[in-house]
Amino acid sequence: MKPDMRILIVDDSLVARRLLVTYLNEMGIHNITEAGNGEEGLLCLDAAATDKTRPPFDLIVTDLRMPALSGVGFLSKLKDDPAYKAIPKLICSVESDKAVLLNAVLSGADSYILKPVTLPVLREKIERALARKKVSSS
Amino acid sequence: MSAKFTSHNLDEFVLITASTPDLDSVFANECVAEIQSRVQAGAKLIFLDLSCADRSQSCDFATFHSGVAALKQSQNFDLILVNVGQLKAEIEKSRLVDVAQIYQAKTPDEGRAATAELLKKEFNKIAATLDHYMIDAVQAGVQRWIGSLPDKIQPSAPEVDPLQDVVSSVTMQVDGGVFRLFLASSQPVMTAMVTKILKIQVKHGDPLIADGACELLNYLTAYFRQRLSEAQATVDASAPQLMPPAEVMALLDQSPKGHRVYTPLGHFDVWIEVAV
Repeated sequence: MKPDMRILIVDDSLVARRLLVTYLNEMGIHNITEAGNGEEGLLCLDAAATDKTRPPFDLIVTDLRMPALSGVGFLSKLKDDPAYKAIPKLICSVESDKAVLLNAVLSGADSYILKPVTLPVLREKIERALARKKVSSS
Repeated sequence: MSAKFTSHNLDEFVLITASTPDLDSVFANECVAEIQSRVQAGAKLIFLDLSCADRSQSCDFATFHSGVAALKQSQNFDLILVNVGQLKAEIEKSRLVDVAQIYQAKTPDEGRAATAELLKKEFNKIAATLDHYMIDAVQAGVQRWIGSLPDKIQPSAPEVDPLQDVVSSVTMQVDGGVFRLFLASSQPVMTAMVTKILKIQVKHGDPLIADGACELLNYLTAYFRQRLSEAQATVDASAPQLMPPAEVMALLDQSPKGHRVYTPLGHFDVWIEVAV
């Protein structure tokens, strides 16, 4: 895992975002951008795409139930966008309903973390998502 | 005479208001067709308001009844006739269909009020069922949120200081009915919970405290939704929102009843309101 990797966290909960940022920092990752819902997430991605001074996002971690644009809505938009569909996407939600998770996966999520997130689980899920990306791109 | 219908569609609960004055054979058949289309769309309980057919001179109730009886042989639904007026005797002597209940009203306004009350009673029945699931969801949600089960959960009216406490709400649609789920906590209790989760000292007034009330409700809602899905209910839930003090005051004026959840870090209140 590269310490300079760039991660976008999309979650309407400050507590959830703070917990993720803490764990990512403990993993040596500090290049983190936070968004409060799917719409803000899209704005962050678009801003990153036009900003040539910073690297693009390597990973997206998103909640499911959010105001303005839900996690599934957000993922669906990325799935249809060639610029973003290759970025690995993790769902981080308290939802454990199979139908909801299936819907999220069909919308483009690579994997799923059940809240509250723990450091070992987060590390494992990120490593797997990045490894899958490496395999698919090679 | 051609019938006109207005309907208040709540998916499984449908109120059909007939607006023609005569329950003649054409109207009777159209009523049956309307009920059939609602049942095919998933309605389980239909209220048919017949206040306009009250003064019928060309009543053909037998056609209506036989149509509904035929429909009931193939479909599972309950029919409640509202404001049947002079048709009451006709309905009572007919044994062609099961008419769940008969309601009378002297004026259309009274009829509408009675119907609204009826709908609310039906939703209150569901709210009682939801309450049962909520206790289950609170157990699971609290355990996941702070890592330990609640010490106890007791029926209680919420005790909330609208200016000091944090109150969050989620709007849920359960089988077409709209409900709101509320969580109220004092700032010190929520501060203790957030401090435990983030392992940092959270100070008074930190936005993390209000956010914690929303995130805890998010946990409870997820388990609530899961329990309801397991019971074959169709559930949709909004993202949790923080409630402003003025709205909290208005809520408390309705004397809600819910549950007090005692945890090792302090207690908070949860309750459900029927929003229809």
